[in-house]
Amino acid sequence: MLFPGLPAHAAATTDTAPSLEVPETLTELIEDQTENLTLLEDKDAGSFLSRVVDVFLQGASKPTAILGKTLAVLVLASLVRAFAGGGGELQLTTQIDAMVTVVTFFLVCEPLLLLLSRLEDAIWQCRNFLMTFVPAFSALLIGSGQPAGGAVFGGFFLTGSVLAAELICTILLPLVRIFLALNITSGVAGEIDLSGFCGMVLRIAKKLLAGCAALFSLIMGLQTFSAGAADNLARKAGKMLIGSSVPIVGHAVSDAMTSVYASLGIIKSTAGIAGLCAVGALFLPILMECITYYLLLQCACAAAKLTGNGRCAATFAGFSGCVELYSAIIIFFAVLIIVSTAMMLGISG
Amino acid sequence: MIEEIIKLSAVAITATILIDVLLQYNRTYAIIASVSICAAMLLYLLRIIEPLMQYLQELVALASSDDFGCIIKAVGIAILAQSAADICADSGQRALAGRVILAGRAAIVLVSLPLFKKLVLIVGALLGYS
Repeated sequence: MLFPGLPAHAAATTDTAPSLEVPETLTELIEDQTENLTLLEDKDAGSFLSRVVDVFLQGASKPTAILGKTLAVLVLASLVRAFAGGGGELQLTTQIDAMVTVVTFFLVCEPLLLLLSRLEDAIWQCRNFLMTFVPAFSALLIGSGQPAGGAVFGGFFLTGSVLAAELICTILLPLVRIFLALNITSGVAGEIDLSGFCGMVLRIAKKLLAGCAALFSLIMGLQTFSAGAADNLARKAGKMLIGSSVPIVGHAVSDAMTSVYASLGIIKSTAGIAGLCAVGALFLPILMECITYYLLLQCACAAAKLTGNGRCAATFAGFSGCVELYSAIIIFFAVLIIVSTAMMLGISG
Repeated sequence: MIEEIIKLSAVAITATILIDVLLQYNRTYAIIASVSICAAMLLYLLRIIEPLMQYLQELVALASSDDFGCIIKAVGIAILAQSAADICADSGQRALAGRVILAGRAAIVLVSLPLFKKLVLIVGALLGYS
């Protein structure tokens, strides 16, 4: 007699429980990133890789054009320097070096600043997404039998990731802008060598990011594992109590609980994986663009050394360090979210 | 190209000898001859390096960089100023040669001023000054 009552009870319980649908903000983000997420439609690894390569080549066309223009300017500078070598008392070579450094800076500064603003927008967008996705996903975690895990995710992780986004956008990115200004000033004013100072700023920023990532991962990992153990214990204790205290149908009810938790786990995993894919699709194009510009600047640095433009080479080396820092910021923020969410999905008991 | 250099060298050596002879008779005519030969050699050099100038123009078009014109102007100013200063120095007018050099430096700074104005604006924007 109790068997027909169980589904009704489950349905009633489900109606009063918090909503376990995929959060609206997640569906909005997925719609915004549909073009990038179409990469995941292909199940075949070969076609998936070819689509990734196509996206990479499309993004590489503009940097390649900029590299071509930069190489043209460097070759021009070498030819012109050959004429100005006999400048005698005018000492034109120094002035030409400064002017060539400024001209090459104009070629690369616009895309670098555009990349920086896109990075900042992506971080803000991700932060806003997390502020609505995390509470809803925490509710899913709680509903799927992980109350402690949901509390950790909705508490420490949300606070940490929002704080990280705020620190990156309000402190680190303005610091990067100051670094760019110092780098070009050092390149133009040959007598004042700020390259050591600029290198120090970059190293400090990278070490700070690495330290924060390590600390966050350690705390998040410890809290997740302990919450997972607590959830596991609570679930097994609950099943044992129901199995032993409810007469006749106790074991059946206990098994039914397992099935309910498993089905809720599917919803949780779906939402979690969709969120991970959306975050990955948000940051992956920018990361690929950073890699492309890093390669561009390294090639330009090598070309500048080859054509005897020492100051240009030092300036390009500084800019490539800056783009490396962009990549470090993206990887830090994206991995922070992806690893934390993946840990929550993986620890389900 | 080697033939052209041989011709220029021969003209320069011949002109030096003739100007040295003229100096003994009339210093003024020697200076005028020196200026004329220098101007003629510069114009002849422009004709010789015309293919190079065309290639430079192609590279500037490829670079799509209007700013690079400042550098080419600066080099042109330097060549003219140095030539004039050398003629003045050879004529014994070292003070005049110094003023020509000063004028050349000022002209080069003025030509490169738009570049540095643009740079200061960008650096100011990076540092947060609008």
